[in-house]
Amino acid sequence: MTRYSTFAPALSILGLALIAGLVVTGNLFWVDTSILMAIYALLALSVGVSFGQCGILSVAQAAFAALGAYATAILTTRFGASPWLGLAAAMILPAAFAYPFARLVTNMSHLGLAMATMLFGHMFDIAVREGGSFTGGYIGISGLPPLPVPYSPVWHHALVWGIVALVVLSLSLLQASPYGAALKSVRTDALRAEADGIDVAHARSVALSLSAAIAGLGGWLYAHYISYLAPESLGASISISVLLMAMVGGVATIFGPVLGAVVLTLLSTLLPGAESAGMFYGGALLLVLLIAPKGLMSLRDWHPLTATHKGRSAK
Amino acid sequence: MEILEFVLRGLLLGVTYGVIAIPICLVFVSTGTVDMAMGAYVVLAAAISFTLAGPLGMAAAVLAAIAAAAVVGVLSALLMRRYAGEKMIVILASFGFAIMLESLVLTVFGNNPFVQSSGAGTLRLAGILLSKQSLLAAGIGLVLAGGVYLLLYRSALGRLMRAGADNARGAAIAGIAVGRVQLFTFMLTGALAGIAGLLLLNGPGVMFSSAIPLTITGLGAAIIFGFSRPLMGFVGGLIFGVAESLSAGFAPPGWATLLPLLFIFSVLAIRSLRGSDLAGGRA
Repeated sequence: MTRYSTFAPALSILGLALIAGLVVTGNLFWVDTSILMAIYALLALSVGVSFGQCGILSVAQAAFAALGAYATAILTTRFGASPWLGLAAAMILPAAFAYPFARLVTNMSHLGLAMATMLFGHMFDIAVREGGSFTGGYIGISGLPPLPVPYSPVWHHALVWGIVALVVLSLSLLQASPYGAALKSVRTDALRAEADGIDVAHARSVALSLSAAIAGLGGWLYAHYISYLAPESLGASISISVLLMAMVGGVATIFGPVLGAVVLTLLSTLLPGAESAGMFYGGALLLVLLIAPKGLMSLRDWHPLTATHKGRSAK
Repeated sequence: MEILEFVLRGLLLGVTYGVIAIPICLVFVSTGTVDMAMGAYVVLAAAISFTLAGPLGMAAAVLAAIAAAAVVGVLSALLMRRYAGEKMIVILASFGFAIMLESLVLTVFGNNPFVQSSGAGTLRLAGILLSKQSLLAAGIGLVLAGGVYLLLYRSALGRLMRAGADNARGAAIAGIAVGRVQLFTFMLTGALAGIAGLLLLNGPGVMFSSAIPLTITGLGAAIIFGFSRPLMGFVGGLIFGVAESLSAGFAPPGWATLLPLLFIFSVLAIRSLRGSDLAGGRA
């Protein structure tokens, strides 16, 4: 892997975000849309890490994000902590939770994993709703301090997209590193990876943990940007949306989830009626699966989903 | 005595879950995948029957559910061919379809709950007050489970279905039109989900957003005994209903909805740690 290709995704995101920032500046609606887009992109990236890079289908990414968001919300509003401390908690708590969770479930088949993470998402949702004054219950938590940058749309825009670029850069570096190669071998052939001396269960758990940390980062941005957090803010439907974004963009690539987040958010913003958003999301997913199986980023020559089946003749 | 009442109520509630679990198992045994849109068919049928009252509405509701399930059947056949049997793709696609249906129901029928009272009175059974409606629903559920049993194990068509499920290639070599049998299976599951929708409409009611939770409940019920036996899926539904009812009765509020999920999660986790494949097959 050449140096350039490692840095290309992050640099192109920075460049595009800069252009987008210049275009939308002054138009608050589009700045807002672009910021939410970046937050969704982070969540979609977290799907990319767990599912695309390591083959763990998680339908609970929004729950991990919510875990981070609630951590920072409770710390900053109840205990007056600084949002920076909240940031640390918002990333460490989901990661620390995801590791043992993953150890429990990574033996499962894909379907089992999807089920287990979905159940976890719902249990988390119920726990938040029933959390009483600690989680704010159904009413939620309001009055979060704003993001710790100068209070202006331009700064917010720069911060969120800068973080997306940073995450993308770290993921590119990870993929180019020996550990990234180990993760790749776990995804494509777990048995072979085991034989090569890779602790498969540990590697998978680390991947889910990392993915949860990225989701938590997204949750932190969301909570402090909106400054209000309720059970439905980062609910189960967001988990599904970001999964679809990652799939539509191309879950196996690093840039794909970001692209998917941008395309689907634009689609649902430009098309009238929030109710019908699901039809476009679902329809886009079906079309992509049927027409461009590797997602919109079908430039790469490999694909984890077809690579995972073994001992079967093609067709 | 109180426990008996909760168990009985749970059984009546669980019948509907069982009716949703049967088609989930049927799809699994015949194609090895899971149709995540099952709960969406249930909601679609309930919404249509709620809007178009009377027998006509009921027929339209079940037909719509069958049609929706057939779409997923055709889609999954296309995807299976394209991805050389990669099952995760089919599951994801049915997920996408579930979201489309949920959004369709919201757009066309609105976000009000779909619930209607059949006007049937109540009945006192051994000192326990039960609505006649829920008893009727239980009866219908049992008849459906019996019907599925007869179809699968006592009919020629059922033999074809089981043959295609057991070894699709072998069945195809033996001259069975596996694709057509699978499509029929999908339509059958749509019919069952549609009837479940009618039962729920005349019972506790559903909303547009119930689709995914209903799928989860059905999956949970189906998982208890492994996915491979549809009738045990029905029993799983009954157990799930009882678990839900007991936790509603005795656990602190809030835990009531959490405990059944926790129960299913533990079943999954224990199977996973023991190293057996949870689904009773490759998925």
